[in-house]
Amino acid sequence: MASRQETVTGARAASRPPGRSLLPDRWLPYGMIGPAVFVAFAIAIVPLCYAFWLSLQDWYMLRQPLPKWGGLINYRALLQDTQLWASFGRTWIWTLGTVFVELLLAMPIALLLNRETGIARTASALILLPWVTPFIVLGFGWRFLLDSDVGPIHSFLHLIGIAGDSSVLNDPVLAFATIIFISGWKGTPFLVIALLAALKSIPDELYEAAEVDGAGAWSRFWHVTVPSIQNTVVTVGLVLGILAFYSFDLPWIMTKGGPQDATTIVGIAMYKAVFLDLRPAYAAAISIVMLVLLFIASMFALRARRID
Amino acid sequence: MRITALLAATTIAAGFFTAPALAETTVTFWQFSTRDADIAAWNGAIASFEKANPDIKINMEIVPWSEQQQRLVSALSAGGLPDVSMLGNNVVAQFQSAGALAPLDEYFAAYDKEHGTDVAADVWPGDKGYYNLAGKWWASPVNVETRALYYRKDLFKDAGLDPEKPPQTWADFAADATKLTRDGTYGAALSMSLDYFTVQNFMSAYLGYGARMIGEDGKCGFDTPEFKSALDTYVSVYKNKATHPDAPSMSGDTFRKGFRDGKFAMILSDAGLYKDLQNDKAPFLDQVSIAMVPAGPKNRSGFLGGWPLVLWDASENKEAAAKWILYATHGDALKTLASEGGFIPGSVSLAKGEPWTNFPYPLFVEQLQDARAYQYPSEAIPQMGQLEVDTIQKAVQAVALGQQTTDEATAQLCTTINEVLAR
Repeated sequence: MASRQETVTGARAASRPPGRSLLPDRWLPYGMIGPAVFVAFAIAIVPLCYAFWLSLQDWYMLRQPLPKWGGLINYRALLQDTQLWASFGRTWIWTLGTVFVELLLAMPIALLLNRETGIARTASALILLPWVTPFIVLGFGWRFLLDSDVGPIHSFLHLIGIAGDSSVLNDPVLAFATIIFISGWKGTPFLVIALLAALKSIPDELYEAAEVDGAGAWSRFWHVTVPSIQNTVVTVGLVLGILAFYSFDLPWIMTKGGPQDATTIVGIAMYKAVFLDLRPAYAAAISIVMLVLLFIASMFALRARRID
Repeated sequence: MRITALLAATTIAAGFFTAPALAETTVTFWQFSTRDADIAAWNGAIASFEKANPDIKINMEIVPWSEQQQRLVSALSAGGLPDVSMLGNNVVAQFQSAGALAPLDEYFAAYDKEHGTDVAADVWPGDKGYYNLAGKWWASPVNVETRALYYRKDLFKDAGLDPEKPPQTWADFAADATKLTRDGTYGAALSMSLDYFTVQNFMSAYLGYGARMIGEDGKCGFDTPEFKSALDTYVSVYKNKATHPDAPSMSGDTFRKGFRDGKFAMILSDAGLYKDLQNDKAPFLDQVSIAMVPAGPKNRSGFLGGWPLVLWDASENKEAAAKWILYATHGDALKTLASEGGFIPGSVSLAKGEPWTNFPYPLFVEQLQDARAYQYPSEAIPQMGQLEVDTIQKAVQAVALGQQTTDEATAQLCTTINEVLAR
């Protein structure tokens, strides 16, 4: 073995001209990952550090054109901002609601598409439509669907007694529930694709063995399918939850955070802090708090997965 | 040696070829309209300006109105502001207060001296409150806008109303709107939502009732019987089902489209709506009449919109940039821009000539004499951008939806306004 290694090393040395090595072997791994680390540093770490630095500045642009050191001034203001904490509360409901709707819609669709039929193949492509459609188009489309004069969905909701004479977007609770549903509906295709991949990776033998043991359809689903896709659900659910937590577009287009503040989530509060109130340092403090809260929640979710 | 010679030759050649470019100053200009007609008109103005000033090149970038505030604030905090841009009249004070704008007084004076004009005297009275702050000029108006009452004479007749007598007061407007709501048509396209269209309509009511946003003590002045009466009257149109049931969540564009589609009998809108109706070939166009905006018990106040050009203080080409601003906001250049864009120019003397003497402009020009800022009679305040979105519209929406009484909504409105003012 030793002599073979020596031979290989000797061959490498022979093929490389002496003194022309660009990178010593021990630096090669660092050289390989260097570009990726640089990119990650540039697009994630630097902005994060800037946001943290900014959050410690005293910068209300109407009073002060340039930032000056403010210490914890923004964090103190943030702790006393009851409207902001209310929007944090709404954001958790929004996030959990969005992921719940995504799971609720994606699971049966993925199970249906897991069958090898022509319709399933066509539907697999069509199912992506909500995911790839821009928020602005979806937002205006749904506003039309919910219009109390001409909207077909409003007519249906009116028929079953959920909507009154006016659009559900006029009602604080229904407006929030509706846009949570739309947010979940938009994210569903991503989860469907992930679940479909997980379902296809389950060996048929497991189902056959369960059938031989007398397991029915429900039992096979519960004892074979669910454990096999559980990791995918948690991981993709976490990604979709993080995306939902940072939402801004959909509620802004649909309701501008109203009626009153009923659909104002943190993304909207942060937008207003920067672009309407001209308080970028305060908005940076909000973003740091968002990051910390989300980091803690993600840790819990991942730990729960490991315990399982 | 050969390399040295080659480098020397390249340097000399580069010097020759770049010599004309060195003398050329490039002015970056952010233009907010995405309408093809407006863009073509601006391109025409730029071409004629560059012809007259061969040493200045105008680089126009289109920044849509919907994105301009984000782009400007981002550029203000992180760098990248243009030399010149449009700006909503209501946020000039905001950016002036942030120290981001350069005053135009010396450029106005130089232009007046060269052309024998008095550009400051040619600004609409209401606009002066927006653009002349702390004794200096910070913007030069391009466009000025007000709203008038469009109404359908045929629907008035059907409802038993005299089509030659449009409502003169807000109380009449609310009463007529109720009578006009029939057969699938709503009486008034009146917004109650968190949309600019709401405050742009409602300000006519509260100013007409004698309410004022900022009191003598510099704090919220809305907590008065006048404001509450205006709010009650305005919201009664929704409560009496005389406007669209979705009014608390509908956008201004949807209302405007609704009037064009014949769904509303009345709307407060700008002169451009008539052009839209002509382009639509609306079957009821000959039945559309235009009247002054309804008055309140104290006065008749129209919405005062518009946008000027501003010179950003970060500009390194202020002389050239100011030259472009003055060129585009006066004389033939502005006349062409305004007539092709279908808006009323920000220059009083221009608006009194052709084509603004033709229907429907004269009524709007007359209305402009009574057009006022949201905070009238107080001076423009830098916080207006925040207040008009997040406070007044919320109060209207809350009362319309029955989430708050008029008293509660007014109290909360003043609390929020005072918080913002004290920040």
